[in-house]
Amino acid sequence: MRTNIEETGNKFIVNFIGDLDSAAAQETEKAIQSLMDVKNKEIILDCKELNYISSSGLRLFLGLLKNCKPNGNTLLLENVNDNIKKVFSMTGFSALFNMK
Amino acid sequence: MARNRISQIKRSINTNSIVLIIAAALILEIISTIQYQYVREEIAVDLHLRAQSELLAKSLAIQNVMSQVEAAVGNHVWDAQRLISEGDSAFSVVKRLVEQNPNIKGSSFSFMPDYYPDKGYWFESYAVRRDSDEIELMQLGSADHDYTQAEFYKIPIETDSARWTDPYLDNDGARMILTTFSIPVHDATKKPVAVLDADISLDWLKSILDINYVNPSSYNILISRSGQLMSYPQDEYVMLKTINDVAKEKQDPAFTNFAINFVNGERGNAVFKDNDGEKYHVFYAPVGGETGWSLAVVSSEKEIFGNYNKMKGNLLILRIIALAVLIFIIFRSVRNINKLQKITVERERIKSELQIASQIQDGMLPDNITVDFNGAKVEVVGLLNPAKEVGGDLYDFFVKDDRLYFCIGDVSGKGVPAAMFMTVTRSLFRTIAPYTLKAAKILWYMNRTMANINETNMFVTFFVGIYDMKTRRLNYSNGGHNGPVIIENGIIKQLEVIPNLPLGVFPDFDYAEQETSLEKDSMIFLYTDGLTEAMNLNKQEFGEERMIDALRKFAHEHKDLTPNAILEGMKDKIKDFVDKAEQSDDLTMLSIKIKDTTEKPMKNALKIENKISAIKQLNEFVDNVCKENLFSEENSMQLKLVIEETVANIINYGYPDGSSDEIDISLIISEGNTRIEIKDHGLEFDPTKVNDADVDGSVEERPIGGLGIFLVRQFTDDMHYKRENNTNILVLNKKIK
Repeated sequence: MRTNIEETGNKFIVNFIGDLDSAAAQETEKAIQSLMDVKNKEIILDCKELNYISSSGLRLFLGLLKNCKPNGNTLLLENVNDNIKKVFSMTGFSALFNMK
Repeated sequence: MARNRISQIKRSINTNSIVLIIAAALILEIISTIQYQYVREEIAVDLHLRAQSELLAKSLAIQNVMSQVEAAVGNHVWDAQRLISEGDSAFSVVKRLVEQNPNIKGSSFSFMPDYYPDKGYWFESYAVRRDSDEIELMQLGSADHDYTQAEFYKIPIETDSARWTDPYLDNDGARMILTTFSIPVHDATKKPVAVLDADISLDWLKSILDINYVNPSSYNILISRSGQLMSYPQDEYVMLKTINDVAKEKQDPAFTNFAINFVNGERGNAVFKDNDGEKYHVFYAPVGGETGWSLAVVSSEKEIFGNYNKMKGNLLILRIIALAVLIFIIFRSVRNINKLQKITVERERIKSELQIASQIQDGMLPDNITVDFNGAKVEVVGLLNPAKEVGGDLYDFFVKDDRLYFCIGDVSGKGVPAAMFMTVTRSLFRTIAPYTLKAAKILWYMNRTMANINETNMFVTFFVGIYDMKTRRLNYSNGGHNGPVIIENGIIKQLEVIPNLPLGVFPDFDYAEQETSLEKDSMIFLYTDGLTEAMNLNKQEFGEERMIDALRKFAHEHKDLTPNAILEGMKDKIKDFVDKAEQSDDLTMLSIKIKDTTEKPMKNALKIENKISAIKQLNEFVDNVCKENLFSEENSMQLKLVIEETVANIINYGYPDGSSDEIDISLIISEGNTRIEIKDHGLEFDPTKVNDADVDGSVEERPIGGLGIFLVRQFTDDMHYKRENNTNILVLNKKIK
C-alpha cells in the first residue's frame, strides 16, 4: 500500500495504491496526517488504484471527512471501483461522501 | 525355426500322401484281383455245371431212344428163340418187330450158315419199313452179301453179347446215318446160333444235339465207339473222319490227349487251342448204355469269359479313374493342408504376440492401492475387460506427495491400433501428470502432443482428476469422456463436468478446469462407454439409468461400500443384462473410495500471529485461495473483507493483556459455498451478539468504530459461534455464485 499526496494550487490530490487493510491503515494514517492541518482546501481522494478497503480504511476516510468541515475543506472521492462502492453504500458512507 | 518346421511338415505330408496313394492303389488292385479270381472261378464252376448237365441231359435223351430199341429187340429174342426150330417163322419175328416199333427202320434175323439146310447156306430174314409205311420182307443172305463177316453179326456171335454197331451210312445214298442193335439168339444147347437185330436211323440225334445249354455258340462232338464223328460242327467230317483225324489236323497236344481219353470213354474236361490260337474248353463223358458212344460239349473261352473280360476292362478303366481322382484329391488336400498349416502357424504367431501385447497392456494398469494419508484413506480399484486381446481403454492412477492422480480414457476404434494409441496416451499421462497440480494443464499438454503426432486421426476421450488428500479438493478436467459419478453419504450424483473435446483433435484447444470439494466419506466411480453401451441380444444398451440404479442399490445395500464391491456388483449386473451376447466393447471401470477420519490441517488453512501486521499475510492467503478457486473479484473482496474484519477484531480486542497467540483460519470451499472457520484463544467474544452499527447517522454522529462486525454480517449468509476449551470458534458461511 502506497499513498501519494500532490498539492496543486488549493487542491490536494491523494492517490491510494493497493489494499487499504488493517495492516496498512496505521501507515496510511501517518501519510495523510498532514491533511488534518490544512484549511480551505479542496481535498480529492483518487481511488483509481485502490483495490480494497476494510473498516480500518473506512475509519481513516471518516476521520478525514469529520476534520474537513471545521477547517473549511471539501472532500471528494474519485474513481471508486464498484466493489468498494458497494462497501460504501452498505455502510451508509455513500450518503456522507461526495463521490465522482 | 518356423520356416524349418513348415518345410518339415510339407515333406512329411508329401511322403505321407505318396505312401497313401500307393497303398490305395495296391488295395484297389488286390481287391479287384481277388474279385476277378472269384468271378472267374464262379464262371468256371458254372460252366462246369452247365456242361455236365448238358452232357447228362443229352446222354439220357440218346439213351432213352436207344434203350427203347434195345428193349424192343430184347423182347423179341425170346420169341425168336422159341421159334428157332421153324425157319419160316424168322420172317414173322422181324415183321412183328418192325410193325410194333415205329423207331425201327428195319430188322433182320440172321442165322449161322447152313442152319436151315433147306433155306440155303446163307439165311438172313429181313423186314424193312418203306416210305409208304409198308413192311417188305426179304432174304438178304448170299455170297455177295456175307453177313457173317458183318459187324452186326460177327461180334455178338463171337462175344455172345448184345451190341450196337458202329454207325454207318445208309447205302440208299440218302446219307442217312444208321446203327444196328444185335442180340445173339441161342439154340436149345444155349449156343449162339443166330442174331436178331434192328436198324434205326439216327436222324433224331440232330434234334437232341441242336439244343445248346452251355453257350449260344457252343457245340457238341458225338463219337462212336471207334471214334467216328457222328456229330461235328463241320458237316463234311461227319461219318467220314474220326476224332483222331481231327486231332491230327489240329496238332494240339491238349486236343490229342483229349481225343484219346474221349475215345476211351473216359469222363473229363480239357482246354485246347484252335489253329487260329483261340482257346476252347471241352467237357466230355460217355453216353452210357450199350452204345459205346461219347459226347463232348465245346465252348470258346472268348464266349465263356467274354462278359467277364469286358467287365474286367471296364473295371480297370474305372479303377484308373478312381485312382486319378484320389491322387487329385490328395494333392489338393495336401496343398490345402500346407496352406492351412501356414495360416495356422501365422495365426499362432499373431496370437502369441497379441497375448504378449495383452500382458504388456495389463502390466501398464496400476495395482489397486490403498493409501492412508494421516488418517485420510483413499482406496482405488480398477477393472479393464478388453473385448479382444488388446483394447483401447485405459485407466491409471498414482499418488504423488499428498495427491492422488487418476484418469480414465477410451481410444476411438478397437484392436491393435487402438491399443497402440492407448499406450501412447498412458505414457503421456505418466510423463506429464506428476509435474503439474492442474488437471486441465495435463489435458492441454497431452492433447497438444497427441494432436501433433496423430496421423491416423484417432482420438481419445479422457478424464483426469487430482484429488488432494489434505484438503479433499478434487481438481479435474474432462476431455470428452463420460462424467464420473460421485457417491457422497450414500447419495448418488453426477459430477458436473464441462465436456470439452477429446484429446488428439485440435492441438490448441483450451481445456476448462473444474474443482470441487468432496465429503469425508465419498466415492468416485468412473467408467467408459463399454459399460453404458453394453448390449444384450435384443440390441438394447445397458444405459446410464441402469448404471445409476445399480450404484444406488449398492450404496443402499452396503453400509460400508468398497470400490471392489461396486466393480464386482456392476460386472454381475452387466453380465446378467448382456446374457449371451458377445462383448462388443472394452469394459473399464475405476472406483475410488475416500474415507477421511481426521480433522486435519487443510490446504486452505492459515495460522497467524495475533498481530495486526499479520493481516497482510492473511489477506494474501485469502487472495490466493480465491484466485485458485477462480472466485470473482467481488466475491474475493468480500471474503477477504469478512475474514480480515473478524481476525482484526480478535487481534484488536482479544488480548488486552498483550499475550501472544496463533489464530487459525481455514476456508472450506464446496460447490456454491465457502465455509470460514476462525479459531483463537483470546478473550471469549461472541460476535453474533454484537448489535448492528448505526449506519444512518450524519458525519458528526457516526462513531469511528463498530463497522467491522457489521460488514462481516452483511457479506456472509450465516454466522455461528462457540467456545470450546478456551477457544473461540467462529464459523461463517458465504454463498458463492
